[in-house]
Amino acid sequence: MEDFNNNPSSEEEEVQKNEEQVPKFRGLYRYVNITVKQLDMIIAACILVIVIVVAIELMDPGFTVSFNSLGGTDVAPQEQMYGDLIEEPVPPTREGYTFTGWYRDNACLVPWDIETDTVETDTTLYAGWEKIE
Amino acid sequence: MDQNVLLKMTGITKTFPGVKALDGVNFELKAGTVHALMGENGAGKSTLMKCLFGIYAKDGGQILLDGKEIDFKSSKEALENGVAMVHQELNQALKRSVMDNIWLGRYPKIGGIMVDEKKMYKDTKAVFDELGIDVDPHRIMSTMSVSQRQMVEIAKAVSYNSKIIVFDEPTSSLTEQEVEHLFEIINMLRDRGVGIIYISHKMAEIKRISDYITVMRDGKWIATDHADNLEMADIIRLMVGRELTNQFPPKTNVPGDVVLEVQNVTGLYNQLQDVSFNARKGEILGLAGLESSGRTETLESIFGIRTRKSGTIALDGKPCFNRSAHESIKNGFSLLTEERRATGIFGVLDIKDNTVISSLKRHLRFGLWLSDKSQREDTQYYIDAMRTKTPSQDTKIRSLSGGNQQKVIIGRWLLTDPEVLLLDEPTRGIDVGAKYEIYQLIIDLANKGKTVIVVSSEMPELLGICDRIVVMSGGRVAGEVDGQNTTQEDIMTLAAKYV
Amino acid sequence: MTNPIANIQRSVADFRQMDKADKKRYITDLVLNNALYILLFVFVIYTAIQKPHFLSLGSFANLVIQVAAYLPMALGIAGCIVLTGTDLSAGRISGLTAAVAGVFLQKTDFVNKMFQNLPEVNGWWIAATLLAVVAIGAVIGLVNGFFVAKFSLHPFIVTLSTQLITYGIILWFFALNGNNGQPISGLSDEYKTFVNGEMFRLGNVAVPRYVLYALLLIVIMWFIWNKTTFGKNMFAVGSNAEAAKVSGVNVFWTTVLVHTLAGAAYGYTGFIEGARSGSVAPNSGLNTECDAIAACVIGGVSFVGGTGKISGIILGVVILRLIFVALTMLGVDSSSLYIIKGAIILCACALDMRKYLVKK
Repeated sequence: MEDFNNNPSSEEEEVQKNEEQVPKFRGLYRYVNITVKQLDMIIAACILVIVIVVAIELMDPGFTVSFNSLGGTDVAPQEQMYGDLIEEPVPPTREGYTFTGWYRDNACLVPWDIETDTVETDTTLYAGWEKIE
Repeated sequence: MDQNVLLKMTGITKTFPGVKALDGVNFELKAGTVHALMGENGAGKSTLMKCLFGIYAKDGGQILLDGKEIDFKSSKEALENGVAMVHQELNQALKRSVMDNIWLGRYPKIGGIMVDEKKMYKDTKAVFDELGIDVDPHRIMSTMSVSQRQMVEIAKAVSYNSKIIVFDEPTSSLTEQEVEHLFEIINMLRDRGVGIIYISHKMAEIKRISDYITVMRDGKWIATDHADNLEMADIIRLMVGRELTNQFPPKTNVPGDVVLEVQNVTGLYNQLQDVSFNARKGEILGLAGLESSGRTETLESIFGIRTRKSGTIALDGKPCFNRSAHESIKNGFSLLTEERRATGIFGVLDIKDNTVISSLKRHLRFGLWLSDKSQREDTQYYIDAMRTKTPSQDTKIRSLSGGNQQKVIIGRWLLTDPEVLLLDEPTRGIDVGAKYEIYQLIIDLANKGKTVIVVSSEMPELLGICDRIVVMSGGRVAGEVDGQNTTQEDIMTLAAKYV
Repeated sequence: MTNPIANIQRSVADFRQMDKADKKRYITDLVLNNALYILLFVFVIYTAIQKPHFLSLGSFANLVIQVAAYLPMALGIAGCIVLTGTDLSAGRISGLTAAVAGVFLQKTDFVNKMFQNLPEVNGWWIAATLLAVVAIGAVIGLVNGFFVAKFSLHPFIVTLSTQLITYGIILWFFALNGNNGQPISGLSDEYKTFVNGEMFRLGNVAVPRYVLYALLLIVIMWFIWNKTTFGKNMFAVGSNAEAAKVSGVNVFWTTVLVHTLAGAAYGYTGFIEGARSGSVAPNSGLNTECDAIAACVIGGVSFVGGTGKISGIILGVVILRLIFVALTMLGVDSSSLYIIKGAIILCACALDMRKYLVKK
């Protein structure tokens, strides 16, 4: 019986035929009913969305660094590129307090070093205050 | 014989990358006849039908329906033009009612908006009466048996006034009586002038029902003739391309002492009731019975993947609890399941992983890692031993043919070194040539002193390879017959005992 | 098979033989199947032209560091995806463990210390904390796994609820001892050095120690996936749970263990993340599982289950990071990055399905 399918192409053919009989999807896609054409359109649409979003962003590149003076005088936001240092703004003032510098967090625990810290994304910096005794 | 030709397919060609699936196939269907389409798995029958229904776009050739050239884009379009298909796997909205399924997509409407339920009911009832189907049109599909759902599918085809109905393996999950009913309906449709294309592996059925037979092989048309002119042996010869002198290999195994004793097994969630039998060393024991007579449940209860309410199983006089598959394997049992694709193979995994999964312990080194080398050795051993046809061990199992997949799974079980092999429909969906090899394998196993229990719906198969046959009926053991001096009628009588 | 050049030559020869329509289809297929790679290539070229220092050694080091930070979570979540599931609780679990690690390892003399009576931070205490946070992650993972395996609940449901529950626990935790939801900072230098300490410099960029730990984790995960019974069982269950059960695989324990292992990986991620960012806020780790899932899908850990390789996951993380590094350098801000991430996930899934669809 071993030479039952002895022509070389039949092996491949069997393989092909059986692929056809396997149900379309398993697992998470079990109930998905979709054609290749529809998938192609989804892929194209996704790529298009990505390209458009990137294009829009590239028209106005850069990150906004805003300053929350937490009760002090307002400080204007800055536009900076990735890896840039921020320009030191005019320090804000607040009655009864002295300004202690800029911090990354609202609670003023992690300081932002104007000399070395670089912009990596949209950032808000918070003003640190110390009460004048 | 001057029935008019309904469907004429000439020179149909379909190429998949690297493979010619159909090569200039001709096919002609006359009105009022049943035309059987035969061939091994992968011969191109399904592909031909898919080209007819527009599921595949044909590369070449011509399809004429009533003399007009057609090229359907979808099976819906085909249905609207009077070409219907009753699928192997039924494609129905199971949560909806019978009549919803029949009129889906073309509900009769009142004023263009409201669905006319009354008309739907009346029309459904009319079709059912015509076909002699006794089903309430309001019934929900999921509450009905496969056979009844199939009837609904046929009724749907009739309700479209179909001129051509294709049956793809319609009897694979039907009982004998249900098959009778189906044949009555097919005969009735034939008398009404409908052309019927009947695809099946079961020779006996084909001989009974069909007027013409077309045989395909390797994507080519081989022969078409009157059914009366073709003997079963001729058909097999045409299908495999060579003479098959014997369907079964010679039986050489000699049963020894009783090793497996199954006593009073009763199922907790199924119909099994007091099932008792025993099996000898080196014996091939058949389990016969109608569909849902409890054959599969018996095997699965022994193997511990179904819960038993009571009953004992003893191997070599030692009781085995077999509460889970894991435990059963340890006790020396193994189970080849009925649904190969659903519960047998790991489709996306390669042959090696499919082979060694049940015997990973053998390959464990220092209780820590698995030796790749020994896994490969074992896999190669069984690929060679069973002549599994595969490009390599790293081929994904789903790309093998049914017969070769079955061999890989049998190899998986042999690696666990079992004493008792429980084989549930070991040759289902496998072509004739590969069946012979599986039979040979079973007999070889018995020769090595293994106990083999085979469940099969094909009685000739059981009579061909088994030493003894236990017949089940309605969840009980109806009797036991000798494998050699029994006829199919004897088994049928027993199988109907508790129905 | 083994010689890539011969392969390409053969493909070219095949291509020459095709007729016009086939050629067109072949090219369309090629473009669509590799859409993400092509997109990546375009971004990289564009960025390199606009910002020459993108191609510097320092920039490469930066990429490696980012990959090392995002990889552990992807390695954990990949197991869940192999089981045809997913895990939405990953980000919150890492947030919780980051908070726990942060509190345990605050400076001894820090004013706003949450727990005053902790022992002094030394090597042993750091190791104990690492073990503790990994254990916390593992326990939450175990809960996930138990519900998924025992009641066959879909991981979506289970992990969505654990995600919310974990967030609740995080908020409780931040309210302990009158902390009132303030971020946890003042982390001890020993902890920061242990994670962030410089191993060597690569083109002006300090390569931190956790890059080494990530390498170690890759080796461990590769071993688990490929060389252990558990790994084989995991793929079997992911490929066909019913068949796995019949084959004697303990599906319950395999599922539970996969989730537990994933939880442990998130726990470790939290430990690294705490020191990396310098302070832990209640929202730390939010949505990071999306990056991990996207990386897995891009890397070929398919949602159909039972497929995936460690190397694929690494590749997926690298691709995702490379895209984001390039976009950040070009000045695309983080809100747009979310839109792009979403599009990438959908695109990756569509590509994944495309591979499995039978061609007509």
